[in-house]
Amino acid sequence: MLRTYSAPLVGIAILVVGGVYGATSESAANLVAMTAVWALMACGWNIISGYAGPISLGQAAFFGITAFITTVLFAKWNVTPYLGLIVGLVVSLLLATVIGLVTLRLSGLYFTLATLTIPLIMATLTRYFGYHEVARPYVGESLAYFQFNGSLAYYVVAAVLVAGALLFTARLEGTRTGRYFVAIRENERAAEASGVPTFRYKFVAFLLGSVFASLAGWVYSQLSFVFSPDEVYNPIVSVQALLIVLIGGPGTVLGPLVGALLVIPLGEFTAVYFSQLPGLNELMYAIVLLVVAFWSRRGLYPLLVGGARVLWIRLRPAGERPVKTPAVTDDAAQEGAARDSAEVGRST
Amino acid sequence: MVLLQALLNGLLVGAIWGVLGLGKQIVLGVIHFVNFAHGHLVLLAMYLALLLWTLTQADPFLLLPIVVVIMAGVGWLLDRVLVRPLVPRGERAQMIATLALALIIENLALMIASPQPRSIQTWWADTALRLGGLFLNYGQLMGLVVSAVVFAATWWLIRRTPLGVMIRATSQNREAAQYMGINTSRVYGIAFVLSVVLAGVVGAVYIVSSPVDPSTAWSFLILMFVVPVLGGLGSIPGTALAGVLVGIVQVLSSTYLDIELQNMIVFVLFVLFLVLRPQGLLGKATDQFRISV
Repeated sequence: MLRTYSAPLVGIAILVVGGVYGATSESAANLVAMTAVWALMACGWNIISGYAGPISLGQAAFFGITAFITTVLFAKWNVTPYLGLIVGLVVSLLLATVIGLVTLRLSGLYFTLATLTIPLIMATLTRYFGYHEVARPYVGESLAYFQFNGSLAYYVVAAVLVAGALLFTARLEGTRTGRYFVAIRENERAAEASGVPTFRYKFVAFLLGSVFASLAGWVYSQLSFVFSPDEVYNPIVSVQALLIVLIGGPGTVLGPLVGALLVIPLGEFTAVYFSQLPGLNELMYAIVLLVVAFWSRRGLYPLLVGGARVLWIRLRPAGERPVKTPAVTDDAAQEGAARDSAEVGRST
Repeated sequence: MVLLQALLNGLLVGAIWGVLGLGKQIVLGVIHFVNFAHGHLVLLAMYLALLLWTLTQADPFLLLPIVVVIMAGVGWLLDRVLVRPLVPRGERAQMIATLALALIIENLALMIASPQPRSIQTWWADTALRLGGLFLNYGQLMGLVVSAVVFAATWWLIRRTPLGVMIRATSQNREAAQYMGINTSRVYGIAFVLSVVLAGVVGAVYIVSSPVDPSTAWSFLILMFVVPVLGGLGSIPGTALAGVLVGIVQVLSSTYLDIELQNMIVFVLFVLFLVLRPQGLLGKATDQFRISV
């Protein structure tokens, strides 16, 4: 029990600390709220691509459609965002069903490319129907319309959703479904041969991922006040989810949260301090992606841990340093270091 | 007459999409390398042509060879630093790294050239040749001529030269080709440079008839994916045919529906193809095709 849920408990502790930090000022609240939204988005990508394997770049589609539906229903027909969320989730699931049934039949690269094109098409369609920008009407502080003056309230909602996502992911790891996901990721053909209905389980992962992306899109739309198709359907939305998980560690429970904690504050920082260089943010993402592609299969996090381990071994006083035959207690560290150096060696 | 004009425009537009697909086709077919940045290499070539034109005011037709030579250099460099180390690391690493390359190109363009759309002005690109009641835009006509030359040259290279034999052999089975004494890593390099050169041709031609801004590249993404699949993997005539087909579909849908919808219709066509004829127009069902429908 504790073993299964230790990672999400750490996550919840982090979220509580985030809440305390967010209470200090409005800009802090905004920052933690954005971080939580992206952590939620990353949780969705983590389930599809971190656990089940196929690399989806279409998460922006579900993120955007829920944001769109919630905002438009509110702006045009005065429908409360809670109802908007339900409608958004239903539409998003229907969309995920159609997209999943078609694209999941494609192999690796083609699946990725096909999913990448979908948000681009949805942006086009949204513009075609005349929605270039939809502002959320201002009704003042109102619980009924999910509108608050400070960002901290949104953070609380987002943090609860992230906590739910972390608990869900941790629970998933132990179930048959979760194990099937990992089997598919590691070797789809072998999984199929061992009797795993690979298509069905990839489909389930795709639907689960779309739900988290929808929830993230919903909170995001409430936080940002203006809906614009070019913003929510931008490929960078999907890429950012991928980036966060790759940095935090794909296929781990805490990966999305750790990644979001590193990426989003850094992004905000460059946006504020280097505002005259509009592309710098994404340029830095690109460099991190290159590092991940070249040096680490499992994300930046294991690379950092491995590096710290190697450093730790090197920096210990000479007397404690293991000689030719390492002591029993050093086995784990040695093995880790050896594995890390082997991984680095393979890439060169 | 409207229909005939639309078909003609489709041919003109589609010719250049054929070249776009051909570059992708070569990388996929020979190296089995996943390049997400192909559209962004086209973007790079567009900005390169723009820069050269701003500096020299020379005719874009004369700038084409210069752009191609520079792009060959870019291709060589990318082959050394990106493709060679990534080929053994698998599809996932290739996707991530080329996505990073795409972001780097796009955001450098954003930083250096600002987000405004820019275009080249020539005295001939916007004028049209009248043929009976039909209009032929010179800028696009140049695209048709260039892409016809490119397709003929590529077909000749692959089918009629010793290098082409090496490329085909490597594409079929790298190990066996290696045993026959072919320097396959050199063939890989040549194939990649060739694909970047083709991206350069697309960019240098496309800038004449269309403005460029840093986000232009994403619209190539759908097309560079669709054309090789429609044409059939490994088929050069199929790629040309698919390019023209895509162009015609685009022009027809923007003539009779709305210009915003053109890429969506192309995508619908693509999905239909995947379901009904996954080997593409001219591909063989026995080809080593990577789609498991």
